[in-house]
Amino acid sequence: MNLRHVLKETADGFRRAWGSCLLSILTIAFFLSLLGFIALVSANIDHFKQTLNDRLQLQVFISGTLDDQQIAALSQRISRISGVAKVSFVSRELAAEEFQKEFGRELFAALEENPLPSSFVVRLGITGEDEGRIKQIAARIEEEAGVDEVVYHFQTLFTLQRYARLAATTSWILLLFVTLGSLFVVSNNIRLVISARKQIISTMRLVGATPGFIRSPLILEGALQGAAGALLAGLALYFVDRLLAQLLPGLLHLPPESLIVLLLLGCFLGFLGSLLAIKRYL
Amino acid sequence: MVELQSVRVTYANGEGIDQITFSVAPGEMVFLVGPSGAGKSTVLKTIYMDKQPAEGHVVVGDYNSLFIRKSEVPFLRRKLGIVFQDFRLFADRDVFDNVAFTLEVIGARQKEIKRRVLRALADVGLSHKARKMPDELSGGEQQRVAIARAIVNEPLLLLADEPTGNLDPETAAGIMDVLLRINTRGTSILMATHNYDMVQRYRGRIIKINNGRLVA
Repeated sequence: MNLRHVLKETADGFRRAWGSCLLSILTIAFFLSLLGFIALVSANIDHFKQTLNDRLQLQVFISGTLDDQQIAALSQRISRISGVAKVSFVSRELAAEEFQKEFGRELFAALEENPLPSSFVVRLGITGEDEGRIKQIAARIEEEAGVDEVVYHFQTLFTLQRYARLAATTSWILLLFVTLGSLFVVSNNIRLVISARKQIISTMRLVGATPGFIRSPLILEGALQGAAGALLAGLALYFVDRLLAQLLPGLLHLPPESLIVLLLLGCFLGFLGSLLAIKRYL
Repeated sequence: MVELQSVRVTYANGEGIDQITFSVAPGEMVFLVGPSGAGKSTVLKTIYMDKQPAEGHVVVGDYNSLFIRKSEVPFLRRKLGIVFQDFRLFADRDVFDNVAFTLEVIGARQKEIKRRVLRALADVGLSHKARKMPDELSGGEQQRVAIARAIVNEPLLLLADEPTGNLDPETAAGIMDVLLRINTRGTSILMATHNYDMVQRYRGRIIKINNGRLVA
């Protein structure tokens, strides 16, 4: 394979159809930026979800009539429920202390007696993925004799779950569009190049050019378009990432390796797009 | 060296060639003469294996149309030089690069390409126009470039399909002189033409074709 020829013909292909070539690069850049942005949002949602998962616990208020033995037995029964990781007892006195720490002594002193019930803090051994399962565990605990009420504040987590699922679905659909869209624009551009060079390609064949000799510049052109689009997308994502970091400190950043993945994805899409055009039009 | 044996090629419209048998020996000059639509170009196409015979076979050097694989066709064509009536030069390359292209295809080194291209251009009398673009040349000069491109790789056989068809008689005579000079140096030439009067003035074997069949 003559490298000089491949590079010369590739440059010539860019020169001949520079308008559609630029359009291909910008389209790929737009699609990949969108994909990268969704990936960034998904990563942050996952991270936030993980933080909330670490705090996944139920508060189980128990009847004030239970003696120590009954409380220990209830604790045992709750521990045995599937999905429960750890049960900690919070006495009325401890609850009062916590209350005073949080809201101040004055408020508590105004009360004639400690109104807070004893409770268990139940940590769950499951993630917040399964909203139904958490509700099931809460309902199961509530069935135990001596349990007055089970309280949990997972609404944020459940809402986040829904957003995470939506983000995941959106990224898959987007990936499909990115793939199809990029393949379409690259193969269309290569089709134009093939069409403009029809006579030349026919003469190449007559002087004994192999299919590889004719195709390699076209394939390289497609891959370079994909790479150029990916580089632009990488640049755009870098600036978005910087901007978000300033606006919302504590957010996760795009790891540097994601840019390599983006570049490989761009090259692969460009390569595949030109291969499709070659298969169809050459 | 080149042999066609009972070759038949049929197109969808019913036209084509049938029972074509002849051979071209090393160093021979052969004129394939017949009116337009007689099947001359089809005969040439079977030799550079752009068309596969429905019957019979074609042998070019070590290649036989019965056994050749698709991937071998480019290598067969490297043993041939092909010249067309419409020149088929690359409009975006100068004369030197047009001729050099044949050698780039086979992966020749730059030094070798330069030496051989300059020699081929000298053979057709165009050394002084090496850096001209095709649209800066006359029809006769463009055809000389096409001939230089065809001979630069020292082919077994030069196929010329109506090489003088687009040229005035004087320019055509100049092209014929170039072809005969190349033939004198040992390159076999098979030239298809409709101009019977013209070829009679030159030495060489004449094969007549009409309605897709050879005639006496």
